[in-house]
Amino acid sequence: MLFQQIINGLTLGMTYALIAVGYSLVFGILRLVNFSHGSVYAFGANSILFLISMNIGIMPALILGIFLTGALGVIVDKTALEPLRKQHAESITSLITTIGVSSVITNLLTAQLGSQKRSFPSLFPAGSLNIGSISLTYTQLGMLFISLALLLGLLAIVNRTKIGLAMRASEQNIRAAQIMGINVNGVISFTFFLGGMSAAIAGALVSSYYSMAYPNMGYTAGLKAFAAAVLGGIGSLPGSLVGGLLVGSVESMAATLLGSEFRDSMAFIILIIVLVIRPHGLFGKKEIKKV
Amino acid sequence: MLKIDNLHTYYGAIHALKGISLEVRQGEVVCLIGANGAGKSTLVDTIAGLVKAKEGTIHFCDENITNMEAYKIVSKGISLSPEGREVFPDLTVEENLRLGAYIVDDKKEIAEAFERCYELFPKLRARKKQQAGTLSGGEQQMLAIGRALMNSPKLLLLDEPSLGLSPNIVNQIFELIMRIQKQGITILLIEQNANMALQVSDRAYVLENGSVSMTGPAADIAGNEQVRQIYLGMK
Repeated sequence: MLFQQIINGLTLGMTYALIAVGYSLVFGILRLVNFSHGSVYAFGANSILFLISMNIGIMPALILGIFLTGALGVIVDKTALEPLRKQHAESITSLITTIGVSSVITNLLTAQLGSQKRSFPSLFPAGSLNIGSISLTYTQLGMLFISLALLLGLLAIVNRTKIGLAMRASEQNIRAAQIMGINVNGVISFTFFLGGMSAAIAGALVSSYYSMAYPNMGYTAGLKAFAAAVLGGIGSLPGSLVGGLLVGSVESMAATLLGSEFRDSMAFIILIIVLVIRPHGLFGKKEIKKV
Repeated sequence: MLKIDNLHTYYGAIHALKGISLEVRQGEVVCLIGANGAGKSTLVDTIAGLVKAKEGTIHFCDENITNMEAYKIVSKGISLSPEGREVFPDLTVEENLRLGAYIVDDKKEIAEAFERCYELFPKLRARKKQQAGTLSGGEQQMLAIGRALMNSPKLLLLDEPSLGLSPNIVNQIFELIMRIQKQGITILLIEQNANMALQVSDRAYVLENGSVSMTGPAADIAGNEQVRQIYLGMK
C-alpha cells in the first residue's frame, strides 16, 4: 500500500520536475524566480483542452498547445521582463512583475473559459500493468516515460548543443557572453520557450491524470514545483528532477500516513528542512559571483 | 579602420568620456595609457557596445557602429579580451574557446582556429578539458586572449592584459602581442603598464579625466618629459 503510494507520488513528481525545470532554467540565466510559470502551466493545460474541444484531433491540439505555451513564455519575457532588464531595474521589481503577470494570465483564462473544472480526455489507453501488488496505470506509465524522455532531451540540449553552450555561458557571465557574439536576449527567449513547452506538457499529463483542467490549477502546482526546484538546487536540471520526485513521493506518503490534508504542505516542509541543512539545495552550486 | 569622433559616455551620473576622438589604422598596435579612472575601460566598453554612448560616433571599416548591440559588433570583426579576463569559470578551456568562435559556423574554420590558438598557447592544449576557473591568473589571461582570437577578428581590443600578473608572465604577454600583430591583426591595447605598452605600440594616446591629453608615435610619447614622470615613474 505504501509502496503503491510512493509509485503514485513518483509519477506526479515527474510532472513537478517538468514544471520545476522552467523555474530552474530561467533562474540560471536571470537569477530571477519567474512566478508567472505556474499560470503558464495552467495556460498550457487549458489551451490544449480548448484546442481539443475544437475537434482538430488530439495530437494536433497537443502540439499546437505546447507551441502556444512556449510562445506565451517568450511573450511574458519580451513584454514584461526584457524592458525592465534594459532599464537595469532592481531584481525585486522583476519578481513582483512576474507575480502580476501570473494574475493577468490566470484572469484572462478565467474570463475566457470560466472558473469551473472541465473534464480533460485521457491521453493514454485505459488499463494497467500489475507487478505483484503494485499497479501502474498506462496513464502513469505514459507520464513517467514522457517526462523522463523530455528531461533527458532538455539535458542534452543544455549540455550538447551550441545554443545550450550559449545558455551555460550566459548563466555564468552575461557580459562575457555578449562579447562572444551571443545574442543573450535571444538565448533568454529560447529558455522561456523551453520552460513554457515543458510546462504545457506537464499540464497535459497532469490534466489527463486527474481527468480535469481549470484556470486556477497553476497556483498550487506552481508553488510545489518551485519548492522542488529550490530543493534540488535551483539552476540545476538533475536537481529539478530529484526535487520533483522527492516532493511527489513525500506528499503521497504523507497523504497516506498523516491524512490527505497534509498533502499540500509537505513540499514546503521538506523544502525548509533541506534548506536548513543545505542552503544551496541538494545539487545546487554556491552562488557564482556576478560581475 | 576604427575612427572615433567626439565620443561622450556616461556611467550613471558620471561623465566618463568627455569628447574623445581617436583613430586606429589597419595593421597598427595602438595603446591607450592613463591612470585608474581616466576612462580607458569605459572607452573599450563603448567600442564593444557594452556601454551606450550619449554623443559622438564610432566608425569601423567605414561603417557606423555607434550603439550597435554588443553581439552584432563581434560579427563586424571586433573582438574583446576584457579587463579581469572574464573567462567562464565553470566551463572547460575547450568550451571557452568554442564560445570564442560562437559566430563562426564553418566547422573547418573552427578547427583551424583551435589549432592556431593551441600553437600560440601550448599550455591551453594540455589543459583543454580543465575548468577555466582552475587555471592560474596567467593561464586565464592566455585563455581570454586566445578566446578573443577564435573568431579571427580584424581588430583586437586588449583591456589590461598584464593586470595582476607576475613580471615574467607580463613579458610573455607582450611578446605575444607582437606575434599577434605579425599575423595581421590590428590591436588596440589598453594598459596601466605604460612602459611595456609603449614598447610594443606604434602609436599611443594618453587619457586623462575622460579626455585625450596627448597623442603621437609611441616613441615620442615614451620620450615625453611629463609622461616619463607621471606614467613611467622616471625623473
